[in-house]
Amino acid sequence: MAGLINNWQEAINNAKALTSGWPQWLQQKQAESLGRLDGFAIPNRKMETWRYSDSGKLQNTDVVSSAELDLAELDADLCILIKSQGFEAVGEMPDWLQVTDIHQLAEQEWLPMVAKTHEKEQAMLQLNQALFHAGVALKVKNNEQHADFVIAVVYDLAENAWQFVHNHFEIGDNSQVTINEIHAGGLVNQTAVWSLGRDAQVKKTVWAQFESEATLVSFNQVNLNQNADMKTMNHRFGGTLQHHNQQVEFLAEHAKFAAGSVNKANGNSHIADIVNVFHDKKHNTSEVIHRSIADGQSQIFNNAKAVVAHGADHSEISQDLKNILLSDDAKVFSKPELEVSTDEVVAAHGSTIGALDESSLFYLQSRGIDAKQAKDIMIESFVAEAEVC
Amino acid sequence: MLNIKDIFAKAGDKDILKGLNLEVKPGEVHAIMGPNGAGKSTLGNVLAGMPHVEVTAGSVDMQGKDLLALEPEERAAEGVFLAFQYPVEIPGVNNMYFLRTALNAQRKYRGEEEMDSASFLRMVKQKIKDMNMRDDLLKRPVNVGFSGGEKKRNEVFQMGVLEPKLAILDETDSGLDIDALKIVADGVNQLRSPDRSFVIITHYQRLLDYIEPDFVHVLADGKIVRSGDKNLALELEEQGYGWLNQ
Repeated sequence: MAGLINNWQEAINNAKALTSGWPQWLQQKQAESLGRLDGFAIPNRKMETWRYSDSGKLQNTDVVSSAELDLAELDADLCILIKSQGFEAVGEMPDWLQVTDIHQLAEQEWLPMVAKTHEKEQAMLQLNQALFHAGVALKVKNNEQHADFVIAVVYDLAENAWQFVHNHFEIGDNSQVTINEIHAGGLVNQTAVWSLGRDAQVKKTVWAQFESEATLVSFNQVNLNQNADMKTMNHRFGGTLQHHNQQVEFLAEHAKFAAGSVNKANGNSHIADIVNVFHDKKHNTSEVIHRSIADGQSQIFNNAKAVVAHGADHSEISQDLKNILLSDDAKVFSKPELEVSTDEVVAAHGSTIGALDESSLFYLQSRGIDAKQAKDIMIESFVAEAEVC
Repeated sequence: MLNIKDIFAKAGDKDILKGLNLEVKPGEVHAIMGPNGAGKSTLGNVLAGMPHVEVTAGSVDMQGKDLLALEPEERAAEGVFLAFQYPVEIPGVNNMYFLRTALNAQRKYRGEEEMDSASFLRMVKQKIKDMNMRDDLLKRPVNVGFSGGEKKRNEVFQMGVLEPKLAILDETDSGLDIDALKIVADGVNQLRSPDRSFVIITHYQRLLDYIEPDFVHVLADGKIVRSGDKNLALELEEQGYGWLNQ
């Protein structure tokens, strides 16, 4: 780990300077995480979660510009701009919602993040927990149903160094909300804990569409209580490296999790999209749909894994990974995984990799649509299958 | 309208069409019948410009243009329409969007003004009513979840909207029950006009009970071996194709 620390010394110094005024208990937790880094190896191709990504791109410390975002175009009722230090709320804050800086969380409210698979490969998660200097704690009270109220969380971070962000999203019992996350670019390591109470419902959409050489590494942990329902839709495009990890845990029964991803990579982009769902309780449902398109010399790694514990009967799992290669040099690695340790389970998984279907292209052309537009229509048709919300 | 001269074509290494000649004049309906593997569908695919079907000799002239030199979308804009034997499904794209995109692409190619959405909506609503089809078809993704009959009806509906000069129906009757067959045939008959021609590829005479052809041709081993009027179809229904081997 020393090599990574040495390479990232500037980032560490930067982050520590920004957290000097934080509560003692939180600084202590960060110090402990920093201490644990020695036990982790630098991400490399020998690791399962990094096998298909160029982790060398993590060493980048160049200034990477972010896209200018027009908040009006986000069509949100409330925008929360996460800055390198603190946040800014644009729009009216409703009384059922509380947003604070992450360091203002009480110690007893802190939710630890623990990777349940490939633990020794989670240096980036550990690094984030050691160095995060920004983020919000967002709480929705119980019995507040506002599915039509759109909260946009916008990452409006500095561009001159790696940025480490950690968020808490806590949705109360029987509450509903829609949250969109928008990444603008830069060099960002972002983590979050999502905690949904009983009967809570969340629709979440994440946009990480980069024109620049942006790098984004994320780890999202989702905890679902009884009857909770989370739908998450990810739109990812470009950047030099995107490495996303979602970990889902069912804490009780009759909850649902659905994740859709559209990953589009071109040039030399590397995108990894990893979803691990742990069915430790009975009667829970998970659905993962990925639609990925690789062009140029890009690489995409899709991995959906479901682990069904002994006794977690009546679990329902669906994994549907489809991929299109648009060039000879592009690569896609697609891996659905099921580890089932009980009998009463309905599980389905599928994965395909191929080119655009020529008979469909011809069909569109035969109606007068030129080849380029026909391809665009087919790609839109392909990615539309992943829309879960 | 269409003049096919001594056409040879192959798919992969296999020679399919072997010197086929056919002339179709404006307003005429030609039925192409023949045994399995004779090259009937290949003829339709050659005219529409399907990749992987390679024309090795011969020419196809459509109203003074070399059809074989055009891309599939250019052929469509010139007025060629192929009703597919197996229409493909396009998830996520509804029929209305698909058809408007296709129609406006053709109009653009011909130097005509694109049709705005309100005018298009009025036009397709009227068409679907005239053709006795259900208008929920417009909102559904192209052919997704359609039964075999619905797919064929959708092909005929597309033909009605795009108003081609030359319509090629590739076994549009296969898999249709009698009611669906009548709907499809009515749709075709509504589109018959002095300046529109049809090439109807079929195995069975029953479609020709509803769409009366001007000519019936027997295609065997890659070329037309016999031509006649509608009575030839009745003869084939009675005798089959055994005589071809005699």
